[in-house]
Amino acid sequence: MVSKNYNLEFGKRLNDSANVDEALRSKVSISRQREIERAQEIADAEHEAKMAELEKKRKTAEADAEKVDKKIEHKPPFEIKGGIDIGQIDLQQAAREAQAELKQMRLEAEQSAARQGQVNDELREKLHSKEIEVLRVTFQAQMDMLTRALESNKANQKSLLDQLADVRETAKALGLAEPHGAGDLMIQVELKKLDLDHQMALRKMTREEKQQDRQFQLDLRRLDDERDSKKAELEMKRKSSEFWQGAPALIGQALSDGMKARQTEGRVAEADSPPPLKERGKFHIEVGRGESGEVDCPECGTVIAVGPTARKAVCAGCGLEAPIRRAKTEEPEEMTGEEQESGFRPTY
Amino acid sequence: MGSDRLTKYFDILGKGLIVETAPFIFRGMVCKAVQEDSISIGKISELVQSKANLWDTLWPNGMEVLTLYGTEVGKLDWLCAEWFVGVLRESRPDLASLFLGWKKSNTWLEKQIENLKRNIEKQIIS
Repeated sequence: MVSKNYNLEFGKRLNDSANVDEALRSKVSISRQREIERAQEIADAEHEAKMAELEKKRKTAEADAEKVDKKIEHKPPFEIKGGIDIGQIDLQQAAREAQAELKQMRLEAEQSAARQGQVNDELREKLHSKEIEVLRVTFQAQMDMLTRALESNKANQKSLLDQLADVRETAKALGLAEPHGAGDLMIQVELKKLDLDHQMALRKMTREEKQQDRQFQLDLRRLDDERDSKKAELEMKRKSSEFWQGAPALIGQALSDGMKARQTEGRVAEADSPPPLKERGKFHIEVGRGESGEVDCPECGTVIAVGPTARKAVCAGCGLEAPIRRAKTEEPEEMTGEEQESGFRPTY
Repeated sequence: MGSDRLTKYFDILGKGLIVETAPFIFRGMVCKAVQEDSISIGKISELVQSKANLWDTLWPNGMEVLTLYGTEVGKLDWLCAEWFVGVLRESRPDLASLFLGWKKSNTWLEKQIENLKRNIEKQIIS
């Protein structure tokens, strides 16, 4: 019979009706319940058996342990004792030394770090400068390349028309249709206009150049003419000044010629025959009484005149004065060979 | 060239120019005159000895002509024996040495120049 109070082996006592349905649902048959009880009993028995066995083993183990303990407690026959003396140890001194050493090591480490820092800075500077150099060289190379490209482009630059033709060719090759109609005409008209302007500008430039050349040549000629006329003026001035400077002398000479021309014709000028030269004698001049003549100056070679009653002779060239010694001569004698050697030339 | 042309020059040029250029003109005349072969040491010596007129020897009627045109010149301070010998030094150094060495000839030359100046002054006054 099923009581309301179910004593489930496995669960708690269900007294509330709420769990009745649950119990009914999980209802176990009586046989099954009995089987379970039986199994539980068997298990309990086995458990007890095990426990007994275990107890038994425990006891035997304890007995054995006691035996061992007894054996251990047996003392050896001899003992070894000793000690080690490691000397006096001053821990504070050791600590001070260790601190000093530590300080020293720290200082060395800082110095090493500072040196390393300097080396790092220097290397960093070098690296920066090298990087800048590299940048500069690269930039320069690029600039050169660009410049060359620009120049080559300039040299190869085609005119507007050529570029347009190239573009048309490219378009045709690509398969694009050439635009027809007013656009093309307009372009052609504009191109023609450009050509015309270009030609007009060229002609104008050529005309101006020619004009400037002509003007330059005219200026050159004008300057040459001015220079020639100034030269001629200067030449005339020079000639006229020379004329005016010499005019008085010319007038005098002309007057003298004119007055001479009044002489009667047939008058024969007296010409003294040049006496033979005599050797130069002493500083003084020896002549005959009442004799006049000339002698060459021993200093400058100028002719010195000797008057008939003169007591000295003076050279007009160098101012040399020569006393005259007069010898008694009755008549003028012909020049002998010996007298021809002296310097005095008498005048008759 | 005669006196007619000289008169024409005087008329054309004017007195001022003549006064300024008179020494140069006379210098030219003397240089030209003494270049003649007739004017020698012997000739001058004769003139000095005979106390003849220098100007008439240099030019025909030289005294008359020089007197006439000397009046147009005005002052003749520059005309002296030293000036004359200086002109001769250039053209005839032998004649110059004669006047330098022979005192009598120097005296004679000074007299000739003095005579000329006196005649000119007389002409001006008259």
